[in-house]
Amino acid sequence: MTPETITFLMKLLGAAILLATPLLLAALGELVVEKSGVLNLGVEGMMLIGALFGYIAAYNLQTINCLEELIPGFCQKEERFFTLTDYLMALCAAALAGALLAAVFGFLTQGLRSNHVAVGLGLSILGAGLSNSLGSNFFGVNYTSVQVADHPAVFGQDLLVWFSLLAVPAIWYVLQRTRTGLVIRAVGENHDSAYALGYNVPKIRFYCILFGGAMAGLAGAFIVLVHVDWKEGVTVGKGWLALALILFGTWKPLRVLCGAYIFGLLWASELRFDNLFPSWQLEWKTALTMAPYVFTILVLVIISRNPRMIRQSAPASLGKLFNPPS
Amino acid sequence: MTDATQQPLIETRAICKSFGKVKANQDIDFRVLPSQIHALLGENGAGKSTLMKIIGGLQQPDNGKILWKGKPVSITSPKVARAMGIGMVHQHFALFEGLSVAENIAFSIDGAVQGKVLNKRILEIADRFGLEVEPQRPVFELSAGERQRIEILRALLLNPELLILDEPTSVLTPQEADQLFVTVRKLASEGHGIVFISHKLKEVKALCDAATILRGGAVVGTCDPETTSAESIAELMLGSRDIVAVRKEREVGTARLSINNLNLQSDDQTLRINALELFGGEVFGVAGVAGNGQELLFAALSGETRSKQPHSIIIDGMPVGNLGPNQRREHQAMFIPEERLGHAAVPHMDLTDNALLTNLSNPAATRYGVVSKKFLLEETNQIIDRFDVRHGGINRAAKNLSGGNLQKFVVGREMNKSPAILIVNQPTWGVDALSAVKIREALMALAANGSAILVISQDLDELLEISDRLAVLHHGDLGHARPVHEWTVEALGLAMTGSSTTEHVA
Repeated sequence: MTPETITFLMKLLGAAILLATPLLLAALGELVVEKSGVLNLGVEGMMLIGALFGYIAAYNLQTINCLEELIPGFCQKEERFFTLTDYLMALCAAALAGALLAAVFGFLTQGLRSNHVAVGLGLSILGAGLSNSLGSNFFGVNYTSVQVADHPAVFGQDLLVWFSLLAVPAIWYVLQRTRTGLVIRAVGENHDSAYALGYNVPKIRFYCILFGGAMAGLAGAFIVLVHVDWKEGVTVGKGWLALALILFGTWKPLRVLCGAYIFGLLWASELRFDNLFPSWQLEWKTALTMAPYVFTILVLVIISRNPRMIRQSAPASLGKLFNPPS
Repeated sequence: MTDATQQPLIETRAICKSFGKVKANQDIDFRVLPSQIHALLGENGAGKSTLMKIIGGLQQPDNGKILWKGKPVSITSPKVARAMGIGMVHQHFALFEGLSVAENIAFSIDGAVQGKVLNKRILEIADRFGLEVEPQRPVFELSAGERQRIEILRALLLNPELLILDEPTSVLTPQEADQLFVTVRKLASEGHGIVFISHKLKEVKALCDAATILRGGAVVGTCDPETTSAESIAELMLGSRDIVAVRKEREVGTARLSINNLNLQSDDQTLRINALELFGGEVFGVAGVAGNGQELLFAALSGETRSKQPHSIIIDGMPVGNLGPNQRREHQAMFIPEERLGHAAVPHMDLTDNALLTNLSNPAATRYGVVSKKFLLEETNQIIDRFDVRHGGINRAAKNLSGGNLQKFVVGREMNKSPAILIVNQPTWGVDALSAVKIREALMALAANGSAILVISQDLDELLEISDRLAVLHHGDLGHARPVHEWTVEALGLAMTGSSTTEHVA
C-alpha cells in the first residue's frame, strides 16, 4: 500500500468515526429502552434538544482571550479556549436535557399510559421545533451564527468515542449478566408476569427511558461539539437511523456497533467517491450514494427471514401498553 | 407411608371463602401428611383452585385456620408461602418466552443465585429427580412438557416441603405424564408432601395415596383411591343427581350432519371422530372437562380449522370438510362460539354491524356489495324482540352489553336464520339463570322445527336437560353416543375422567 492509500484510508476511518459515534450512542440508549418493552420514537427530538443544550453550555463555558484589541471593546484576534472539564460539563447539560425530554415521554406513556408511537412521534416533532426556536435568539444569542472552540482529545480521539465503544460491552454485560438486566429484559418480555412477580413495571421502564434520553442527548452533543456547528435540524435524521439500527442489530449491542460503523464507513466513502473512482461516470457515482440505504434494506430483509433470531432477542412486549390488573 | 397418627404437614380447619354471593369454599378441612401424594378431586368450579390459592398465599380465607406442621399460620402472600416451604406449579405457565431456562429460574428465586452456580444447581436437582432440561435454551422453543419441568424445577430449587401441582397432566402427552409420575413418586419418597389436583381418576388411582373430593365448595368425602372404586369416586364428584329423561316431543328426521374419520391436530389439542351422524330434530350434547378438545371440535365444525378431506364433514349431503365458515353458512349451517367478545361479536362494533357479520352470505343483506341498512335494522330488531335483549341502544358498541344480553344476541342472531344445523359451544356460559332458560328453550324449539343441533358444554345439568343424545369428549376422542336416558351419573363421570370404556355403561 502506498502512503497515499494509507492516508486516505485513515481519513476515511476518521470520517466514519465522526459519523458513526452519534448513531451508536443514540442506538445503545434506545436499545435499553426497547429491551424494557418501550418504543420511543422520539430519539431524533431528544438528540436535537441534547445538541442545542450541549452547544449552549459549551458556548457559555468557553473562555475567550483577546489577543489584539486595537479599539477598546472590539477584539481583532481572539483565542477561544475550552478545557476538558468544561467539555464534561457541556456533555452533562446535553444528557440532562435529553433525559428531561425523555421524562416527558416517560410521564405520558408510563404515568398516563398513552400510546408509545403517538407520544414518540410527537416528541420528535416537539424536539425539532423547540430546538429551532430556543436556538435562535431565545436566550439572547442566535446560536446558529456562533462558534464553539475545540476541546482537547483523549488518546487521539474524542472522549465520547471511547465512551461509546466502552458502552457496548458494558450494556451487554448489564443486560445479560446482572440481575438488573434480567429484570429489564423480563419487563420487556412479559410485563404481566413481571408485575405478578412483584416488579414495578412503570418505574423500571421510566428509568430506562431516562437512560435512553441521556444517551440521545450525548449523541446530539457529539454532533455539534465535535463534528459540525449547531444549526437547525443538525442531526439530519440520525435519530431515525438509530432506530433502524436496533432492528438491524437485532437488539444486540455488538451488532449495533457493527451496524453503526458500517453505516459510518459507507457514508464517509460516499462523500469521497470522487477521490476513489475519478474515472467513473457521474451516473454511477450518484447511484452509489444509495449504497447505505440499499444495504440497510438488504440486511433488514435478511434478518427478518430468521424468525428464531428475532424471537430470541426482540422484546415481546415492545410498544404494548401495560395496564396493571386491578 | 400414610399413618393416621402422623403429624400432618399442612392442615386446614373450616376454611371459608366467598366471592360475592358465590361460596367458593365452605368449611373445608383438608390435611396432607409428609411423603403423601394427596389428590384433590372435583368438577370445574368445585373450589379446588380457591383452596390452593389460599394455601399458596394468593388469597386470604374469610374464616378458618391453617396449621403448618401443627402450628397455626397466616399465609399473607406467595412470598410467605414460599418461605414456609410451599411450592406451587400452576396450570398455566408464567414463563418469559424470550429468556433462557436458567434466566427464568433465576428470576423467581429471591436470592441472587446466578450464572454457573445456578446452572450447576439446576442440573443437580434436574438429575436427582429425572427432569431433563437444557439451562441455556430459550423457553419459546420448548414443548409444554418441557415448560412444566421448568416450573417444577423452579419450585424445587426453593426446597419446598409441600408441592402443589395444579392439573399437571392437562397439557402433557401420555409419555410426558408418565415421566412426571416418576418424578412425583421420587419427591414423595424423599419426604415431600404433594397435592395433586386432577380430573382424571385413572391417574389419581395410579399415583395417589389419599384423596379429598370437593363438590360445590365443600368437602364431600375423603378416600384411599387405590382401594375405592372409580365408580364411587365419580359419584362423589358429580353428586347423586337424577337423570330425568324428559320426553321430548320431537320427531327425529334424516341425517343432516355426518362426520367420517375426522382427525385434526392443533397446538395443544387433538380431535379424532370416526363416525357421527346428527339427525334433524335432535339436540346432540357433547360433555367433557374443559381442555379436552372442545375448541378444536367447534373449530372443525365451523370451518375455522379445515380438514383436507372434503368428505370428513358432510352437511345435507354436501361435502364441506375443506370449506371455510362462510361457505358452510351458505348450506344453512350456523355456529355460535364460546367467546362472546372477540369471537362471536366484535366488541367495538354496534349491534347492527355485528348482525351483518354472519349475514354476509345472505343475499338480502347486501346488494352489489352495498350493505342494506334497512334489512340489518329489521334483522337486529327481530333478534332483540325475540330474545329480549336488553341494550342501551342498537347503535352502541357490543362490549357495552352485559354478558347475558350479548349472549342472547349472538345466539339469536344465528337462530333467527332458522339454520338447518346449529353448532353451539357453551351456550349459557356466564349467563344469568333467566337468560339461560330462554336460550335453552329456544334451542329446543329450533330442534322441534327440524334442525340438527350440536351443543358443546361443560354444564352437565344443561346437557342432561336439553339433549336427546349425549357423548363425552375426552383427550380429543368423542366417545360412544347414546340416548340420554341410557346414561348414568357414574358412567358419565367415568367417561369424563377417562377411566371408562364402553363396557362400564349400564
